[in-house]
Amino acid sequence: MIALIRFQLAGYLRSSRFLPSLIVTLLLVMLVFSQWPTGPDPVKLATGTYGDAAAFMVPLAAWTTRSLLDTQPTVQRWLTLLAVRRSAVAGLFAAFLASAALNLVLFAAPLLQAVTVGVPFKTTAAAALLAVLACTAGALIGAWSSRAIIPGSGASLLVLLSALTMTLLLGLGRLGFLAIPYLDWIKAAHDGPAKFQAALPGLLLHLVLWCVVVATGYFVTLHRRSSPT
Amino acid sequence: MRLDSVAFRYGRRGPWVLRDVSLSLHPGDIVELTGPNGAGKSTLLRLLAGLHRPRGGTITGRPSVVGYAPERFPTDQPFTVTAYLAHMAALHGLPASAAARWSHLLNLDHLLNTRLPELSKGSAQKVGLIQALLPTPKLLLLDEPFSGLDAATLGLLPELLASLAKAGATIVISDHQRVLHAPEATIHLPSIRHLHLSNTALTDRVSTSTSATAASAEASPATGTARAATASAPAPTRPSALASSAGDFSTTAAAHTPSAPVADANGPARTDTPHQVMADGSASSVTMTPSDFRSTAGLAEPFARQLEPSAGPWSGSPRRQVEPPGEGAHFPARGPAPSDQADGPTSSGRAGAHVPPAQKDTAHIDEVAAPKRGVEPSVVGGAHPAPEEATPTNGDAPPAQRTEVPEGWTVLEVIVRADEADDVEHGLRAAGRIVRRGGGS
Repeated sequence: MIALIRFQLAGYLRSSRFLPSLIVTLLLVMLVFSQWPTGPDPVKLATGTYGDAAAFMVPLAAWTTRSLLDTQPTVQRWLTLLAVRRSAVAGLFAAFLASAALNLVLFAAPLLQAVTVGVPFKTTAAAALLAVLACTAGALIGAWSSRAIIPGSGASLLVLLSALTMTLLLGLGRLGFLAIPYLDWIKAAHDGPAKFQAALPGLLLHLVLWCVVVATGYFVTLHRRSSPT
Repeated sequence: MRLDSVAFRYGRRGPWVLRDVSLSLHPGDIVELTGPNGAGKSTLLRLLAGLHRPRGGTITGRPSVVGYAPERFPTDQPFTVTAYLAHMAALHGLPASAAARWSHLLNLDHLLNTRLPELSKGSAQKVGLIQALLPTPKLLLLDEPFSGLDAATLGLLPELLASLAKAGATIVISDHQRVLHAPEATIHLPSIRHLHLSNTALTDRVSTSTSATAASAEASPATGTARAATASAPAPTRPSALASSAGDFSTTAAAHTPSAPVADANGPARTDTPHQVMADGSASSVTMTPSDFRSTAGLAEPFARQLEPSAGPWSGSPRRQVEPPGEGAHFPARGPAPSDQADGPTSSGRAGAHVPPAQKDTAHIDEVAAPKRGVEPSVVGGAHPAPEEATPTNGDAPPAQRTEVPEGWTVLEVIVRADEADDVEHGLRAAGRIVRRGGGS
């Protein structure tokens, strides 16, 4: 499985398909740096930036995952599948690694701000944990929109955008449990370190359950397909 | 491995591609899968590989290691050949060097640093074959593996497949080009099972290579006798037309002409092959060596054998003559050509060879006159002996236009312009066809 992860990451890097994600990441980093926390409560602002960055990580990871998983042509994925039966797991893990690498670049900007203005370490640790789960959630959305699930590239792009929008909008209504709690963690982060840390367990539990359900659905769907695409 | 009442279709409402397909495959089986376009051959191969899940029925006993060479290797990948094969080897838990022997065997060494998208069709096909062979599969599935391959590789594959089957692998091949029925292949693949897929049903047919194989088996021991018998025979004055290329190396219509031009029974100076070019007026011909094709080391050692592309029996530069090896040649040698005709496809190698009964009922081809056209035509694959070749000096020789064609093969006469004859001929040879070339009128 490690060999397959290396194979997929190598293909992703050599194909330059990572460039769009990298460019967006760098733009986001520039955006973060352009709004350096100042004023009466820079710690609160820096903590809020953690929440904002984590929210951006979801679509970034989703796009990166879809891009990576679709790097291999369909027939090559068949060949890979014959060599490594658990190639879906390996593919998702490779996608997570690629997304995590980009998100680490994105996370570096608010981290630098937080260290500069003196955000508590516990808050930073909580933000890092949130970033990991946000990245995972985004990767799963990307996996659902990959060619293995949706063969048509146009349809898969539509699904990706729709899923990202739905996971945001569902958080506004009674079906909030189906959503990725972007709005909740952004609000908690902008309320300061204390409230952010207090809200974190619930947010993390929500995200973990969401990821488990979506990942299970992904693997079951892949397994039930009579023809891999 | 067993398929029980397997049914498959793409999508829930799609038409059935396969229905009620039952099949047993055993280690050592070599199965040829045929059928018209769209019959579902590739689908069946993918079902066997486990890439598709049957909609109905069951597939049991699939070997754990499966090699699959797709019909079209996916070249749209950002790797060089070396990098790709190293990754594929790693997926199978093999060192990166595992692909080296295969790339060497298939003459791909010079392309190892080439990027996959830049490969030609045949070279990409070789990469696909190598990745399928890498894990030493117990089930090897080849989807049109011969498409686009060069002559040397075409000549090598049957022997390679036989070796793998001998080692216990089950091999299923979809082959539109009927390469497996070429006389060169039947030597190595004596027990091909033939499955025909049509109208969603699979039928088990009697191997069509049996007769040719039997012919080969009978003919090979006879060559020694033939060589001796023909050593003193007078040189022919005309080529034996299509006979030289239609049948096995040593079992063709030339057997009807015991006076065929073997001049030297002691040393193989040149031998003929099925892919002879009929001598045109200038008696130019291709003479390739079946003995190059035949392993002198036995079926179990094709891996160790080096095949030079130019020395392959199916290699086909129309003006090339390849010297056969001195040892292990199974075919009568031809001495110095006494005449232009003797240098043509008069098939000294087939002279005097014993023709088994299975070969005697094969088709014959009658001469067709070349049409008069504004541009002088050449004949590729037809039976148009040059005028001076039309009358054999030996009264026992059969008519030049009559020849034997192995079962499962037929003769297609193509008349082309003289200026495009070479291109057409190259194309046909690259596709694994037997080509003879006659003079235009």
